[in-house]
Amino acid sequence: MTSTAAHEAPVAGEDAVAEIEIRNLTMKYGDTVAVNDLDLDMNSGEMLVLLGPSGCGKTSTMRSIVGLETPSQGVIRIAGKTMFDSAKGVSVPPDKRGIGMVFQSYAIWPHKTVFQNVAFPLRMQRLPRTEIRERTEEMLETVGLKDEGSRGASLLSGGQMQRVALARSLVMRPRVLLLDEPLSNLDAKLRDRLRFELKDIQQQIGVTSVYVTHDQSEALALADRVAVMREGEVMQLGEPMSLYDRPQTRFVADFLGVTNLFPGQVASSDGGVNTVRLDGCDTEVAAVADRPAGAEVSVCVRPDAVTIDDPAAPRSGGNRFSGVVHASSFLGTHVRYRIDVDDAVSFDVVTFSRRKIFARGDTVTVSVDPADVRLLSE
Amino acid sequence: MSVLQQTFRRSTRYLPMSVILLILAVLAVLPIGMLIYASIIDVVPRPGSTGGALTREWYSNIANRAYLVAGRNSMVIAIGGTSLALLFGTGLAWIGARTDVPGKSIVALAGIVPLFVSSLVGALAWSFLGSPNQGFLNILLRPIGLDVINVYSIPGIIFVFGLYYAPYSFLLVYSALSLMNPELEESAHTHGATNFTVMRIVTLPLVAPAIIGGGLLTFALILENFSVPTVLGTPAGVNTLPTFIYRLMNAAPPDANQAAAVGALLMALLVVIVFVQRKVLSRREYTTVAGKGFRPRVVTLGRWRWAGFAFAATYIFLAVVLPLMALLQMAFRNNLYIAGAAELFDPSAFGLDTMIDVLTYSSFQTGITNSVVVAVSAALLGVVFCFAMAFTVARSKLPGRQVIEYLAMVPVAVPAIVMGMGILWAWFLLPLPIYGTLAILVFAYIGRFMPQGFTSIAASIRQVHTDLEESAVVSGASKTRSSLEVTVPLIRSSVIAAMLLLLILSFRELSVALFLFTTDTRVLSIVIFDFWNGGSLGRAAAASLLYSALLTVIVLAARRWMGVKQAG
Repeated sequence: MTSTAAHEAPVAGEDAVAEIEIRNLTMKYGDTVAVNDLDLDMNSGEMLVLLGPSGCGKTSTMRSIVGLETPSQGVIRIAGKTMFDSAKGVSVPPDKRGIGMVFQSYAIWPHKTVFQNVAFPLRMQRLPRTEIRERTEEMLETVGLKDEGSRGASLLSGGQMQRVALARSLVMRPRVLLLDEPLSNLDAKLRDRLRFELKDIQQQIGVTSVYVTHDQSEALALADRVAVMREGEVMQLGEPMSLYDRPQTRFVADFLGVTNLFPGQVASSDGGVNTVRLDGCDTEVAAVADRPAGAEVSVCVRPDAVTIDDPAAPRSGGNRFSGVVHASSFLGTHVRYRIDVDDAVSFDVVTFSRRKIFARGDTVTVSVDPADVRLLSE
Repeated sequence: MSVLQQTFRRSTRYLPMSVILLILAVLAVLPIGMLIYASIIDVVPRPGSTGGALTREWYSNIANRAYLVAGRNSMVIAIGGTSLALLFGTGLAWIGARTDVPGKSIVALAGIVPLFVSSLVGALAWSFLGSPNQGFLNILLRPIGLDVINVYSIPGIIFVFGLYYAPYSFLLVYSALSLMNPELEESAHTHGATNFTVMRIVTLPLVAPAIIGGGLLTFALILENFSVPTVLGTPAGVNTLPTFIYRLMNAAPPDANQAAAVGALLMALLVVIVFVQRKVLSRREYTTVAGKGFRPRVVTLGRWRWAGFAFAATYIFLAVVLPLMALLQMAFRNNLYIAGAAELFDPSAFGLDTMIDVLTYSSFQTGITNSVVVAVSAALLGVVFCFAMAFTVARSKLPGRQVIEYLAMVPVAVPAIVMGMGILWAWFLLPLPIYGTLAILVFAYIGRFMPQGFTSIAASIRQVHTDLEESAVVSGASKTRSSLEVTVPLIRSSVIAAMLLLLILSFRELSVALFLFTTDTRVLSIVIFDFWNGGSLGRAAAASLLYSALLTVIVLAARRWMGVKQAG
């Protein structure tokens, strides 16, 4: 795929405007607020993932960008051009926005061939026949469907439909590409493969993309930045690794799959180290944090930040707990344990070491570096 | 966008819906309004006059014995006919869907064939078969002393209704039985239930809504039917509410207000039944699991296989074969007086005179032309209108679009004969001079059958995922362009199927036209009815044969088309 002018990022200057600019976006359906006063900026060429449970407003936000929904309030600008502005009464219809979109159901027209599906946006632009043919074939090659053009679209497999949908959304060389849970209808193996392909094509073309999903691993794998949404608001926005390592709220940690979340109360605060007593037991956890004593917090530890050892292993500093292996499952690349520390606290532990595999009932020691313990508010 | 542009956009946005609501008002609201109006004023509705004082007279008259007897007859016939139709319909459905009966596809076909026989023709044929003395069956049975059949009676009417109204419950129950997830039954079976228990605790409760819904639908259809009780009840002096309405309208002078009051009561009854029926059927979802190719559980009948087959064969024999033979006898006999059984098989008694007579009869010829013109126009215009309504309801976000859905379904609860009256009076009010033309029949048929057209097109539009249209819009197509490129091609076959359905229904219809035709605008069903009314039974039989042959051709063409749809 050769990059063309339309895909090249605009020259980034000091005052370069964001590629997508969303201000005060609010959307109501009757009395329910789907999107609540949302502000969001996206840089050219980046892939932003909107992550959240169903009903969090991620799909409504995406559909507002493309113009399939009319927000109750707010401003949406793309490359400096106003697409929607409730105050000024501006609303560019979706067919004039020039945004590509991959639907969750793919929305491949079953009565057209693969070629006709992909060529459709170019036909709508009334391009000359030869150019339509050239660009469509080029696009089909990019998504690996070079020889499938004449096939009826109703005969495609799920993965092929997904590629056709992607080709159709990219063929018009949009400034912005929207993807609405594009991998959710595929089986796990195919999903993994297409995830890489998708990222590859997106980076190759350099198109600014918004990707909606409720699958945290998909979000972490694909995103340049992730926006975790809840009840119409962005809870936290950031790069995948910083988000995973430093969630700011219990909700974000929980949604990103951090399973070790224990409610507790700060017992003491001493020189940047808090000691937290977990609710319902005597267990105390040290954390590098600076909260006042008595504060209600959630202790958050990533499963991969916990070390598991023989009780006889040499001691090191930090949090050490004695526990019993409750369950152990071998998952190929790693082993996942559930370790009961006391009646109220069980740790999820992920270890990539296979030197020593523990079995159910084994007594072990789990340890966590206080620097890896985060204290979260609700 | 300027304020002016916005105002313009807003008003054009509402334009299609306003047009639809206006048409609905003329087709559904106005006729019902006129009917109720006529039932509470003391003057007969007439062109140009809408005056009159309010009165309760017409409703209080109904306490009269004759009305009560007609009402009781209606109920007895509807209950009896529904029970028999349910027996035939659910029996055939179960045998066809769930057993290893030989000739399964024939059984399934048997369940729907009578749907395409006009109940007028069915009643005529059975009057030839089972009238006292001269009925063919009585002539045949006389030598053995069993010439006791009398279809000119309430049991006779019930029997004919049972035969010709079985397909409605058949269709509903058959689809419930074949779409049911077999795992529901298998899990009961593996957890220790016998075949009989599975049927009692799983199958039956799951198809119960279909049986009850089908029963209520059949009940409503029998209650409003005019032709069967007219043909079979008139000789015995048996009146039902619809035949009573007809007699009141045809009295000299017509007792129109009284007819309106009876009609309004009949309609009220139907409204209740239809309402309950919809409630029952709307709870049906849980019986089926869509989208998976199930192979329904089959019960092995063993020795009873042939009993099942005999049941289906008997039904076909009674509903199709015997009536067809009776029509052939009547249509090709030279002499309608038959002295004994032997004459039924005497070749010299037959000839083409009646058939030629009918074929060259000018009102029969205009009847065919009129029927074709009216049915084709009603089907074409009806389908366009139903598409417009269904698309607006399913895809627009305009407030008030639900009103369209309710109004489109209103005629379901209006008895055809009552609707005919209402339309007659409604057009007295409107400035269009279409009374006495075929156009008023076209309007009446569209009004009568729009629920069926609307339902089937709306269902097919709902099956087109909005994503398919939205992806076209996102790709740069306007909304109109997207519906032309995506929606219309995708539902084309359903639209054509709906059109054929409207064509068949319009072609078959008698009751709604009863008060709307004039000498020049008689349709085939009316011509046959007039033959019968005038005592020309041979002509009535010959015309019925030709009428049924035409209907069969249309149905076969329709089936062929729908078959192509399935293959492609």
